[in-house]
Amino acid sequence: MSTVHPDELTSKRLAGQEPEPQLGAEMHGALGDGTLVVDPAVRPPLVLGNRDLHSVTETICGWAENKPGKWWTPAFLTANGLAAVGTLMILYLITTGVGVWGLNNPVGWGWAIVNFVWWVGIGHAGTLISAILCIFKQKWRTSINRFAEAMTIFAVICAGMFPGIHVGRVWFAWFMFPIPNSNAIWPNFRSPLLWDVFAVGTYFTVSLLFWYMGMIPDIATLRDRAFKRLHASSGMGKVQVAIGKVRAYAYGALAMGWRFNFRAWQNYEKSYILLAGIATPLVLSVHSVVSFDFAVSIIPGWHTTIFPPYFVAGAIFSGFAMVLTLLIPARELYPGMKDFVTQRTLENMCKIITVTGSMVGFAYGMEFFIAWYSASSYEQQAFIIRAMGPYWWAYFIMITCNVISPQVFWFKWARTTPWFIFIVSIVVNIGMWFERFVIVTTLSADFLPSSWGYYSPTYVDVLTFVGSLGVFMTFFLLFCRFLPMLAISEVKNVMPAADPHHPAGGAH
Amino acid sequence: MKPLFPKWTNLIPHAFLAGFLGLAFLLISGTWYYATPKFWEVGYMPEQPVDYSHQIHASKLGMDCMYCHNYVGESRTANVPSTSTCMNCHTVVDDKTGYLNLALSQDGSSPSPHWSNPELAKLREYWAKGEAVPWKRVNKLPDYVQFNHAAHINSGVSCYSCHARIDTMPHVYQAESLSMAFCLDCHRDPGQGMVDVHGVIDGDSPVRITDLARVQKLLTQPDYATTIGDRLAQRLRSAPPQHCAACHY
Repeated sequence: MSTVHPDELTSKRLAGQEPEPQLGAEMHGALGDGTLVVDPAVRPPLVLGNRDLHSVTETICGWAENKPGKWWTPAFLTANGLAAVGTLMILYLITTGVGVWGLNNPVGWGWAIVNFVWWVGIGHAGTLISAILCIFKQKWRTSINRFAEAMTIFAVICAGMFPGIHVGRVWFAWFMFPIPNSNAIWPNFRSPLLWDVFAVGTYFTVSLLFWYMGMIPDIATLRDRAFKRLHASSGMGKVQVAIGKVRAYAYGALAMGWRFNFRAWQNYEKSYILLAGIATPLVLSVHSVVSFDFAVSIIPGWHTTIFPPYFVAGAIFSGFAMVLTLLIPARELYPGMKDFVTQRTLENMCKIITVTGSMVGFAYGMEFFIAWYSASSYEQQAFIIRAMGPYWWAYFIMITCNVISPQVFWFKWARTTPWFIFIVSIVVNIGMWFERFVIVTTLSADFLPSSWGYYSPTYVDVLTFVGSLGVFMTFFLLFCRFLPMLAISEVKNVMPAADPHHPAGGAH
Repeated sequence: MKPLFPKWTNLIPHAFLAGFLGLAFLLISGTWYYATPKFWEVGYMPEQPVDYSHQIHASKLGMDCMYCHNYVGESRTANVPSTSTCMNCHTVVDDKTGYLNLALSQDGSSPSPHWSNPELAKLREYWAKGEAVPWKRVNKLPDYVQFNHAAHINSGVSCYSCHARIDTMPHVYQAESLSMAFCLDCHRDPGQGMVDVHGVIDGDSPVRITDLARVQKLLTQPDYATTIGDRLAQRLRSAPPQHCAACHY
């Protein structure tokens, strides 16, 4: 075990009194890319590849500036096609009515709500990574926060779609908002469905502002580079110049006149920390409110106080899984990304998945305990039916994917092997979808056995969900193509080169 | 190198903000004013097949509304009278003078020299053919709303409350918006629309529900609800329903 404080070690190294660490050799039990350190006193580097500040800009801007890999266009067209299928399904729904879905009595809430809660849950990782980890000064977040925030925005867009279309008469969706009208009626302010509108609306607004504001300096970098390239374009054809102009003006408009001056940075830092402060409670509040949709009702199996914390844990669980699902392929597909998104970052995220997965598992167990402890026969019956009734298979999938699968990350190999993490992350996403399915199909067996029924989706349900995945991926691929995927300025901040006394440092 | 954006582009955010606020203002005020039944419905005055005047009959001649709309107190609809109701009088009344002229019915000749009004000629044509006059409906609620005339009339809501001074209209038009807000306004505060038909407040002079002039005078008193209406609603245990299924079923 090292006895020297890591900061002291770093300062000694910078002063040249200590040799620069040889990655992998000196660190105990290091494996993988050299950031997987066993010794907690050793701080592994956050950015690999002995990069200076300029090479960071070059790499990250390069992803947006250069032609994407050959995989991009087919992937984008596939996502677009799926989105188009989803759009057609929604058009069919609007022109025909919610009867095209598999809803029935007693299951009046089907896949629309399952998908809504699933997507909102996924949308929780971005804000957790960018706000809560920012406040806790977890520097490893800088390489994934932009990515996760973008994912959050797109997930919340997909989530917002479903409440809008599930109302049946979509042209009355404005009834969800408290707008004065000649009917002299308001939404029911005691209804959690209205709170939902506010909670998700607030969350989307704050996340969007946070994401966009954080991106402004990086977009300005892209703008300046596009501008330079435009003026160095003596050998370019007319089309290339036109594209270059569009690029420069688009980034220029999005950068909102950002200048890299001291005052701008000061305002930026201030508003960043303020938005982080505003976003932090939202991480907890939004999914609490979503859980109220169920918990405030009096349906056995829904009416439980454990729902808010259990939903929030589940949301972070699924959100991190989705970040990993997107991050691991991106790491492989974008050259140089592995230098920023190190294996340690992945390992940290796996640990969070295990923690939140265990919390979710605890909640599942506690629900059963409380059902027994409450001595309420309806509650007990609801849980017996949930685990052993007609939807036993969904419950089985949920437990396998959500409770058992994240436990593999107790093994070091499992949480340090990207392809394996990728598989588990998908399994977790499936599990979290089934968790919401299990909750919603609780409706199939309520107080009166005479009104019990079985719900199964139609092809429209399924294709609408697939379409939402297409919408999500379309947005995401566009983001990867045109915007700075990693927070350039923030990554630079956590590099040794940011130290003004560093030989390759900021003072030079 | 020429900069990407000329200096005037600094004004774009301000212009955008001003434009956004202006557009929002126009959108909100436009919706507020135009997208309401108050704008689209009030004043609807179709041309009727016979130029019948409520003003002459209900105001000048002082006929009770319920002479023609005779089932309004028992039925959910205020029935439109059949042609024969008109002919109760118009077989024995002189078109010009408006007075009873028994000679008309006695000589039995048709057309009588006393039947000179061209509008009444149309009416008599329908009568001769045995047809109802195809009156055009003026006050119409959407199909998903149920309105029961009898329930309102019997609890002291006068014709005046929804149809205004229909007895002064030479041509009938829609006077109120009949929007849901219009209904709920009264259902939430029934005191402002009820009159004392049963004489529970003042036993000596109960209000005749079809006496629109008197009802108007009462209901337009600024303190009517606090002095009479609320007491009346309380005395009659009047609790108009506000739940959806009261009207939408």
